[in-house]
Amino acid sequence: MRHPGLAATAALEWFVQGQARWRCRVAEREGSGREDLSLRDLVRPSASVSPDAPAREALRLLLEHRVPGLPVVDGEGRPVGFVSDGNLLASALPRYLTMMEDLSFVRETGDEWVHYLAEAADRPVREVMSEKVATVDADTSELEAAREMVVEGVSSVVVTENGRMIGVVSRLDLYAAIIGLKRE
Amino acid sequence: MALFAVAVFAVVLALFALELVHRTPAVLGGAALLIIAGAIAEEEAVEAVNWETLGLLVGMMILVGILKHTGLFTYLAIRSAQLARGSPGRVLVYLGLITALLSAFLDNVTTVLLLFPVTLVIARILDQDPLPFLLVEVLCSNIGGTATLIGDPPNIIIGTATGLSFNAFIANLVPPVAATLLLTLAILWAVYGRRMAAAEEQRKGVMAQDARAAIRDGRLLVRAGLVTAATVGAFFLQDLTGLSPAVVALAGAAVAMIVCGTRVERCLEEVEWPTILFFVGLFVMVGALEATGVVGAIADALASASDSRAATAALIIWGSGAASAVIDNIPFTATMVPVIEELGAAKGYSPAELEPLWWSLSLGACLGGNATLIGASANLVVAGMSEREGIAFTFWRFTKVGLPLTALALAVSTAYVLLFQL
Repeated sequence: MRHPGLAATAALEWFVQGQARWRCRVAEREGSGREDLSLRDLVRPSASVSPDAPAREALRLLLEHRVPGLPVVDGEGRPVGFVSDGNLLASALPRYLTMMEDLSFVRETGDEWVHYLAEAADRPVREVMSEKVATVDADTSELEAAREMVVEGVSSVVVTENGRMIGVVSRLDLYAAIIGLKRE
Repeated sequence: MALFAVAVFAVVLALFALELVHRTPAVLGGAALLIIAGAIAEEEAVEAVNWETLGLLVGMMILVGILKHTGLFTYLAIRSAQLARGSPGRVLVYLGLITALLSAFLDNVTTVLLLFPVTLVIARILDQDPLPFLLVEVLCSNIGGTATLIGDPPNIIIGTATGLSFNAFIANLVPPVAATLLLTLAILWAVYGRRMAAAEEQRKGVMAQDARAAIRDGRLLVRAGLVTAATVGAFFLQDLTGLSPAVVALAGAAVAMIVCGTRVERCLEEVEWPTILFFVGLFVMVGALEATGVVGAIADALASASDSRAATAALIIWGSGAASAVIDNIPFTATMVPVIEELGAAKGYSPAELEPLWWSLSLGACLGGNATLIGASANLVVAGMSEREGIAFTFWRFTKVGLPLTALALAVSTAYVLLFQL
């Protein structure tokens, strides 16, 4: 070997870095969350709304249960959509108002548009819901459920068994349970 | 091979007219096919692409892309409505005027797109059916766009192919366009505006709007506005500087991107790249039509159909108008440019003698877009957006107004060319 000093330094560096990596892994495991959870543990029964109900009903249920969104299920308990407070407000506002970047020029006549929102409350839920509903089977891993919620941007996944809804798992419940926080 | 080229051209046109394929991949596919089949050589194909056209388009798209986020268009629309004292009939006319003016310098589709939501807001406040307002704006945008080299793609194609200057376009096209605009607005006011009435409270509602608040970013507006104004000013000086519009536009865009502080990626996202690539494919396809002699054949037919320049001009105006009413005026104009060039060569016309034919093409191709709903992109874009708002901007409702007004516009153009140009 031409430069034994270099080789020795390299070996020492390799050893030290290996130690550091090992220590990190240990630290991760010690602060790690619960690994023994399954989706079935986290599922909670949920209210739902029929696609034919008026939007008003969906709003009422969201308010009553204090959730940001609810699954829309058909007569057989199969999820057909998801309705959130976001969907409801977006469908009530006339589209052209959302095309503008700014409405601050509107003065005094803002009330002109209030009746649109009032009228929109009578529309059936099927017209305002999102048809994209993140649905997972009860045997899916929590990792997949988490990924679904993040990628689809929804507040909860609908958990099904044999195609029928058995409940929902919300982002909040999932993450909190994994790191060991309890719901009061 | 000539037949093959025509067939490919026709099929591609049909495919995107029927919305079976997006126009960009349609023309790029057609262009590739023609090169592969040997209808046009690769080097010829590259030569056929007019980079001037693309440069001008890109430059202007960047400038408009920056301007549109300033809230300027909303501001102008509200001020127009307020200048009209909230009287609906007058608002109708004033909105038409501002649309025409903006469309003369900025792309028509962007103009109507940006005015669309604020027009609905104004119509709502006045408690009027928004349809007449939208109709007027669309019709005026196509008319206004005819007035300048940069106002409408057919003019951009003609100007960059022939070297006719920005000022030449203004001097020759503003008179017939202004006359057409005034006549059109007068008729539209008589048909729609005269019967509109709004209560005192609604008119006050319009006057109470705070137009200044629509300007979201005053500093950006000043900077972008100044750069755009300087760019347009430079267009006017084309005869002095000898700079082509593409160079001016790109220079303006570059300065704007540096000075305005908008993220460059965002500025470039505003460029309609599908449209740019559409032009590339289109130029190649038209180049193939030229290379295979199809263009020459059309030019011969045109030459023999009319024995005087006056007859040729009239034929071009009405023929272009009719064609533009049903097919996209961009491919039409792109094809007609070499046709008229070959016609001029065949008949031995000097550039000065050929000029009236260019103005005829411009007037016919641009104004023809108002004849039917499918005549111009601006019409279709507004129709699409209206449909989503539940406003019935239908083919028939547009055409029954557009067709007679276009016939009138073409008649005015014919009279103008025959009396003043020849």
